[in-house]
Amino acid sequence: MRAPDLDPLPARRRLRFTALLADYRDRLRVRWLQELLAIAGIAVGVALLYSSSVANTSLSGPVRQLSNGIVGNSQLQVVARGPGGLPATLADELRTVPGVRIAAPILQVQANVVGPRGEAPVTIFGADPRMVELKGSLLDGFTRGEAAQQRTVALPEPVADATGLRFGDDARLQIGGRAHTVMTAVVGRSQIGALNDNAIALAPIAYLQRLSDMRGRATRILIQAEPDALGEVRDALRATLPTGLDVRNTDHDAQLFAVAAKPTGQATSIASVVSALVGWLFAICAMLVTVESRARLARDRRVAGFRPGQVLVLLAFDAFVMGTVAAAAGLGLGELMSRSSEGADVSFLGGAFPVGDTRVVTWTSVAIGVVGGYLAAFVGVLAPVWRVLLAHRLHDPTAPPQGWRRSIGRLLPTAGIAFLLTSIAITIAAPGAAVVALVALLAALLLLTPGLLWLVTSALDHLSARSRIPLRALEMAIPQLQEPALRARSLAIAVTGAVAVFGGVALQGSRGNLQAGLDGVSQQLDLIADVWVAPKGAGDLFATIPFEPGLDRTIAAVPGVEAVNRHRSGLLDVGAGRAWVIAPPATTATPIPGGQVREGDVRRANALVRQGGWATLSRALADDLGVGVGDSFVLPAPRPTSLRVAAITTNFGWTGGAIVVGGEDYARAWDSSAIGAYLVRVAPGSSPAAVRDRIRQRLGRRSVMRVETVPQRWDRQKAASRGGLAQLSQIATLVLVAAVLAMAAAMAGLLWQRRRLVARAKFHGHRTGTLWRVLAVESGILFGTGCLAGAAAGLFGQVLLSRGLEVISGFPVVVSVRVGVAVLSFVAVTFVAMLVVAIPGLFVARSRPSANGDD
Amino acid sequence: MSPPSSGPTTPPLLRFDRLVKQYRAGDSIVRAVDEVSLDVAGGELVALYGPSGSGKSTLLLIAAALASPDRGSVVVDGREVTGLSARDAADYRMLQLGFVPQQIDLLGGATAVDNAGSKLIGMGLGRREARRRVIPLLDELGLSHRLQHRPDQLSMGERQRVMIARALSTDPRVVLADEPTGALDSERKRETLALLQRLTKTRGMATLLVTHDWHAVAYADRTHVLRDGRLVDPDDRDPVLPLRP
Repeated sequence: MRAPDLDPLPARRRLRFTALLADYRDRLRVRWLQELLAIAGIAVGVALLYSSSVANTSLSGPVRQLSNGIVGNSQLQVVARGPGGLPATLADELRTVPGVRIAAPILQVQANVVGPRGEAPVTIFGADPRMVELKGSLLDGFTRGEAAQQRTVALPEPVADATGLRFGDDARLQIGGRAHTVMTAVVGRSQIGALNDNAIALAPIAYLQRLSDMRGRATRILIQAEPDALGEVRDALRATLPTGLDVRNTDHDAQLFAVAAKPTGQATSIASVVSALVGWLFAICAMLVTVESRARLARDRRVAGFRPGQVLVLLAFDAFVMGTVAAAAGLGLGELMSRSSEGADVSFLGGAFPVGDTRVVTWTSVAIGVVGGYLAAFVGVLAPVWRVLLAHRLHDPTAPPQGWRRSIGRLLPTAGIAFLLTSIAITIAAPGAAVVALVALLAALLLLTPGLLWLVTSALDHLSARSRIPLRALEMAIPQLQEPALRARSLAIAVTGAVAVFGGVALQGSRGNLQAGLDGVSQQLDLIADVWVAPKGAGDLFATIPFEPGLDRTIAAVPGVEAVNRHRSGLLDVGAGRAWVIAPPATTATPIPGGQVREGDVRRANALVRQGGWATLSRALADDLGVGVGDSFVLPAPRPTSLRVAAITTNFGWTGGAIVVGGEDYARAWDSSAIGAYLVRVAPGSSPAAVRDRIRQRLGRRSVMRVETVPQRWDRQKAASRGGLAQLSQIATLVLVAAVLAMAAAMAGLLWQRRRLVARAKFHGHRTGTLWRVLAVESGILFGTGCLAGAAAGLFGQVLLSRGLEVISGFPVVVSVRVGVAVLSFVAVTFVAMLVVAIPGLFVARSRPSANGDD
Repeated sequence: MSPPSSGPTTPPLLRFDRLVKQYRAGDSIVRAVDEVSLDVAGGELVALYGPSGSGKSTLLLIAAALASPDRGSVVVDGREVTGLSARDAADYRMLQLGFVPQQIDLLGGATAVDNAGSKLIGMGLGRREARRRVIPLLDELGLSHRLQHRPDQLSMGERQRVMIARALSTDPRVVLADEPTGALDSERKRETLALLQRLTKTRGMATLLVTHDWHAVAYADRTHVLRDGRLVDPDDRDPVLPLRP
């Protein structure tokens, strides 16, 4: 009997959205847990991608933001090379240059703001009223008259909150060795826009000139030229300006910062790639649990008469739903991670750049997370069933030929070995191509792990066959691992562990090597004195806030002080970077920190620098200037000075490059008597700590100087450099946690599907305890093999990354193999994953006995 | 050589014409189907009996355009279905063919009525319309009181009837049933076979029933025996095959 009165079936066979939704809902009812796991896995990957992207953007975002906020519509700037600045009245002369519309001077000074709740380092901008016309957000909320009439130092809300200052309060302002009491104003987003999140302050230029003892001076002059006269104005300025002043584009600071932060950015990027890969593997592992049901669905629908395109739409709908939910959850999780993480701390660059604490979230970061999430979902859903989707004939006894599987089985390890050898060769011969070597190493790991798993199971099989002691759990576990139908899932679990442990070991190890190098240099640099006396505030890490000396006698008179010397240092734009110039006093026996010379004779170099007329350059600087040991170069200081290269060194941990010159050469080149710190040598028999306390007492509680022993200074520097590398550590830990969850979830899924087998085994007399041990052994072999492969590859990865860092960035890296990190990661991940999976394993082992495995 | 097919004089809805299917096993060639010719007319239930490995399932796959023969053809309702494109083969399976597989594979989260109507979704119908079409069919199959039940709430026999309803939901001309009673107890087997027999007659379908259960042939209008890929005379004394019931 046919159904009466029915419309004919539609000619166009387009699947309806409501039908797809209802179908997905029905399927979700019975496999919601697997879908949830898969979505969670993708979400973790999205979170890692998004937070890494935000971290990278936030590195340079604040500086660019600040730079744009200050320069507004100006295109060029005239910059003084030295801390002494240039005459502010030069702006009036430059205004007369044909093509120049506006010329506004600005003074920029590093200072420390002290309030009732604490202190904060800031960059104070002394703004000329003419800057209002440049329409930068720094003065956006002010008229020209208001800008001229200010007699306060305006602080952004976050700085005011941190120091406990309110509108109208008196604050203590420490600038270059002197302290002033100033009235504070508090400004917010409505006045200075996004600059509110930067560590800055604002004052009229005349007021700041007085406070900083730089009357009539400016740091730079911003130039707005007629749009079609830019080139001519630039040429005219270059022709007109005296030596010691440079004409640059207004984004120069942002470009220099990009160079300075590049290693941090690169390291973060590498770590992000590893973490995203682990997150993706997490997703794939979790989705493998759903492969069987989706493959069955696809096959069933094609047999029923659904067109291949319709089956594709059906599965793509699944992927779309999963991708959407996972992307949303992942972005939320990533936002939490980003807000709560330490970020890529670049405060160590604060002495050279006005870095901020702003998280900069762009649509690009969101897009990266969303696209990554959808990609994982679509690949995870469609890739495992591609044969069912694309096969013209679904069931053909003559296809697929098994031979191709055997060919691939032979090809994988061969390709893996080839990649491994490539990685080794690059590390030895071209360590600068560390990223390529890393990718090759990762590929080798992925390709060789299946072979390793096969080796391990074969070896254990051999062992159990020959063992006199019955190893029942092992004997029962091994056939399960060799089961072809479950091979893909087992491999995914092992590979996830391998990649995660590799990432964790390589990142932590190379971070440790870099840290060791940085610590070594700081100690060497600090050891030229027993007690350091330097101004407080940002930049005191490198003693780069210059101040006029006047405390020598006061300090020298303190009991226990044998000698007081002057340390000079500063920042200088050389080539593409902002270099750190160090001028230890002439009494220093070894002005060049030990172990940092890469070319040249260290003894001779020390003697030459002390003698004068010679300097050391870090590798990148020397390459920029095109010079080698013995060659002459002109130091582009306020007074350009010709020097010869005594040696090539590392960059002492400063990404812009490092230069060591004699104290007198420095004073001559900078045409300044300003110094960066007092170096106190303690008399024999006196304790540095006691001398430190006496100096502090002599200078008084309100002194702007920080007095500290060398160990105290080391601790601060260690904290700063660790902060700069903190995010690497965080990502490495996160990667391991994600791996544990991924492997445990996938393994739990795998074990859950063993229920029927277990039920049958129990029917045949096996006990719960035995079966639990079997499942545990199986898990242990998979986790252990993957993690072992990852740990071994990670050890090589440590060397690879360390060598790469050393060569690419010039950092002082102590290249070593940190076996402890590898052992700890291997043990921790394997053990914790096994613990996590023990619980579902117990549930499975307690399945009821059944002859045919039915519940 | 296979014995000539015998059957009624009405034109067959399903015709196998000298089908051959072979594959390589190591160094030798194995003929899974060896020159099989067979006709099934409308309103006729033909049983294809044979032990495991005799080629029954391969024949069904070829008939369903899920596998390609090396030689020969399959004609359904006057149209050759061997060599169709993937899209045309899908349309053929959707509109002209009803396939009842061996394994009962219903969506666990869907009700009986939605499972029965799942094939119609591929025709572009919505859920509501699909339900309207399959409810009378489920009623005919004695499941009117089980429409909202999920598979885990149905007996094995009831689940198999839902599978049959799904196969018949597009009113096909030909039905292929691959061991449809394999998972059922004796009582349910008899019920299901009787149902197939009745539906074949009332709907005028051509039904090919593949089975290794000799008792199933009692419900067939004709029986063919397949051994080693070839049709053999069912009256041949063969120690492997049981005597006819």
